[in-house]
Amino acid sequence: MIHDKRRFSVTLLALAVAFAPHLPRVPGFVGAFVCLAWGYALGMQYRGWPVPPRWLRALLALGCLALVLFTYGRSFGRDAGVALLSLMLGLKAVESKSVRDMLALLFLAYFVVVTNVLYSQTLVMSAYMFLSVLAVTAALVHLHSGESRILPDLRRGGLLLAQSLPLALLLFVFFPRLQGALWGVHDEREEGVSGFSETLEPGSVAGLSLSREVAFRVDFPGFIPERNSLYWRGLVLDSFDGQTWFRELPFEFAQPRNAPPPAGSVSYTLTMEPHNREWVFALDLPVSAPRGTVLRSDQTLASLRMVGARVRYELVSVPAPPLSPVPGPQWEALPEKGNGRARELAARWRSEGLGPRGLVEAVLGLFRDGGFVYTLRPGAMSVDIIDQFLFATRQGYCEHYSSAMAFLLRAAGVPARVVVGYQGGEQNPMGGYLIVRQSDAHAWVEAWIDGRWQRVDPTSVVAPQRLVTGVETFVPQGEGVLPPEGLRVMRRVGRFFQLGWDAANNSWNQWVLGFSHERQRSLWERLGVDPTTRSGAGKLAVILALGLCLVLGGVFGFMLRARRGERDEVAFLYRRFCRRLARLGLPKGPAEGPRDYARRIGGLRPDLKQAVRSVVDAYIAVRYGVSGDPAGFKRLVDEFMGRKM
Amino acid sequence: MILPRFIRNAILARQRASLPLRLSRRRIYVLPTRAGTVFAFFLLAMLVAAINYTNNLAFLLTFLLGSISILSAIHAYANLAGLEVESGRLFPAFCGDDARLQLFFRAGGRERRRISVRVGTAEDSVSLSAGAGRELDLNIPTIKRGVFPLGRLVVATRYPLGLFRAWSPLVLPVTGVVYPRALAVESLDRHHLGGDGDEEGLGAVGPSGEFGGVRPYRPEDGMSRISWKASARGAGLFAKEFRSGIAATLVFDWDEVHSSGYEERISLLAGLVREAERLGLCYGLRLPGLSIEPGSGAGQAHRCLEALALLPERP
Repeated sequence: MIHDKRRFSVTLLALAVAFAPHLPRVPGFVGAFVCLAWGYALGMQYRGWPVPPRWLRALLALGCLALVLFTYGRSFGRDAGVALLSLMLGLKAVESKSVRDMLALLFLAYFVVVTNVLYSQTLVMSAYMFLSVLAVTAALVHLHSGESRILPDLRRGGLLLAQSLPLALLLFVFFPRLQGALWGVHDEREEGVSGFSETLEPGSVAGLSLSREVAFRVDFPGFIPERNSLYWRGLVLDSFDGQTWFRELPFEFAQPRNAPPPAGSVSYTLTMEPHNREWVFALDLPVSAPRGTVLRSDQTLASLRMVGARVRYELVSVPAPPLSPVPGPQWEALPEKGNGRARELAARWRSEGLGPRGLVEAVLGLFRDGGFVYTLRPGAMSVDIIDQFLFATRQGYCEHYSSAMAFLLRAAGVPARVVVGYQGGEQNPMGGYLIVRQSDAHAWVEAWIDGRWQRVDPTSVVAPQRLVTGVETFVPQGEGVLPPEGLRVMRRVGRFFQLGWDAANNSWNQWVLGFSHERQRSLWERLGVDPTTRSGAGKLAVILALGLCLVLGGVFGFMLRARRGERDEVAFLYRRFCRRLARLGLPKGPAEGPRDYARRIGGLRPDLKQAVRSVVDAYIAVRYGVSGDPAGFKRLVDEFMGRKM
Repeated sequence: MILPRFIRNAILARQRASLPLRLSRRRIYVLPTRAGTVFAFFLLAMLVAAINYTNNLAFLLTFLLGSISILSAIHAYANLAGLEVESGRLFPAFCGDDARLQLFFRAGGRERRRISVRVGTAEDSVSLSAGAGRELDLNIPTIKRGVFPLGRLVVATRYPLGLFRAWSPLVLPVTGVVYPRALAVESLDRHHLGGDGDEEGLGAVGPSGEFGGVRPYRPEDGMSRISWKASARGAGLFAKEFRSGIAATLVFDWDEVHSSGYEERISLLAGLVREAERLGLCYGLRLPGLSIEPGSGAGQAHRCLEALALLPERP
């Protein structure tokens, strides 16, 4: 009985480990119920509390079901399933008596571990998942080992887990992946993952400047271009309503160029974090659209589906814009009224006879010399924001500058548009890739000059630092308690760990979470196998079979090897002693005991008599006596070995 | 399920083993348990969820659990393979009591966890550390007197996860004897014995006779005769000797006991032998075609009871 108590507590402990990540996710009443039920189950085991009668359990089960249905209504998805599973865990624990019940509980615990994965797949969570699998496995072993100690069972569980890893990886790589789901998955991910919106208004980019969240990561096979030339275009905005820039024109799809990528093109791999929108960021001007995306006529990419999971794209971009047709009048359109002084300024410039290039220079000159300040906290503006910004506050962030510049250019009759996206990115020396964070969000202007849409970034004249070091330079720092020197060192150490951690996460994302149908295909291609043909499939089957044999055979051999006993030092020394005598031509007889052996040697070699006698006496004392001295025996044997004979 | 005789014989021939015995792959079978089958459905559900959500971590976990369960079959097999059954002995028992089966296991090079041994309904389990040997006793119920073949013995294990069971059915060359059911005999009086009044030595035999000192112990004396007081001096075991004034030599004669039927007569004789042995008397047995000279001690009792046990079933 004491055994059963122990087993039950171990089972419950494993269950708690598996369930812990769900606790903050499930509704409060579910968590409370599970904890109470487990507490009561423990009380039943240790304090002899009565088993709740059958009717009460049935009532509880029905009540739980009703509550879950009431809470989740008709959208019976992942969350409702997990809530129900949790309630079952509580109820089952209360009625568990036999080994079979505990077995069922532990199977449920495995299931709980897998449902955890549907919520979070970060590296930390994955490590925790493995830990909980270990805990549940050890509890299963404990259930069957009949041991009172838990440590050997934990070791056995760990051994099983370690041996399973190669096999699991083999299956993971070889198991055919499908594209898309078997049936519709109701996406319960919360909407509006942080990231910029489809419009640009004062404050929309600055609000992101403090977010360290990763937007995407980029792997360049060759060198990484200069940081100040990294413009990741996301969305082109064409219309302005006096306050906000937004997209009004329908998107046109461009024909991907079939010609080989022109000189100066850069190829890279971009892994985008999910944002639940369709936009896809690419460096400058992407040449072609990877699978699942389309190339728009404004040289941006869009995904065919909402990007609800991490995606990987292989991309090729060129830095130089192509010739494009003359844009329509809507690219110069402005609201009828408002921002009068800006319009006046534009008209004056125009009357001075400035061409498009001259106008761009004039605007940049104004920003450079007009006492403008680049700041994250420009203060609120309400009406005529362009005028306010240009002539009153003169403080703004990239969205103010690009908005004002596009306005001025349009007012002067030059087609202009605002582009939102990201600029720059942090190079991770540990992974050799680039991390682009939300704080790298940026807005700039493209003006139609000499038949091409050319990039003009007003931020480059106001705050050139922004393009080289990122936005952090401009983020106001709190007062530190540490002296500046210490602070700097601390920050550098922190940065080191942060980058290392990001590199680990990136590898995890790339190799485990991002292993998709496409990557599996490309892996087969790299192996020179085409699974669609008969011979290719056969080859693949042979590789898989060989791998399975290797792994299973390895485990089999390992498990069946006889474990050598602890080395017996005394026997080892005695064997050494006997070998030494055998080399002298005095081998021990197979059935000869130590005393007889010593006597025989004493007769044959009187010179050795005393030495052999003392060794053998010590051996007998150590091996068979009660007062043997192993160290003394060792000393005697060593002396004997060192003798000249 | 009744199988044709030749198949049964073939199975029996495969399971027959001689001692000492080392369990090898020829004798070990591995199949999933019921829990293992249920777990397979769990895994299938997980796989479907992983495919549906195209969740690679769920894939990885599912494959990990699948691999763990497959490898647990190897662990179960390894837990059994190489186990040595060194000896087996079935002690005699009176019919209706439990016969004690004593098996001696040796672990061989690996540790063994929770290996269950089952004969009929009797079951027990044993764990061994690497290189160790251990005795396991099973109490096997008996229903019939006579030679008692052990029958099939199953050595099995569900360790480590209970998803697979490795087992080895063995028919060992171990037989025992089941003594006849012994009737309870309150005292050895004339009532049970035929022959009226012949002084073969009944009369007033006290429970023990007169204590007559000690002598060195002989194995056939039995535990009840050991003089613990004398033995405690450390000079070996001593047995109590009784010197009854009455010539305590009894011969139980088949033809002379009062009994109604054949089996009852056997039972009564067995009871008399047991009682006489308990009292430490000197006794003999006369059966049709067989006569056992008077003697005493465990050996004498066994000789007499075995002779009774092996009497043919029908007169």
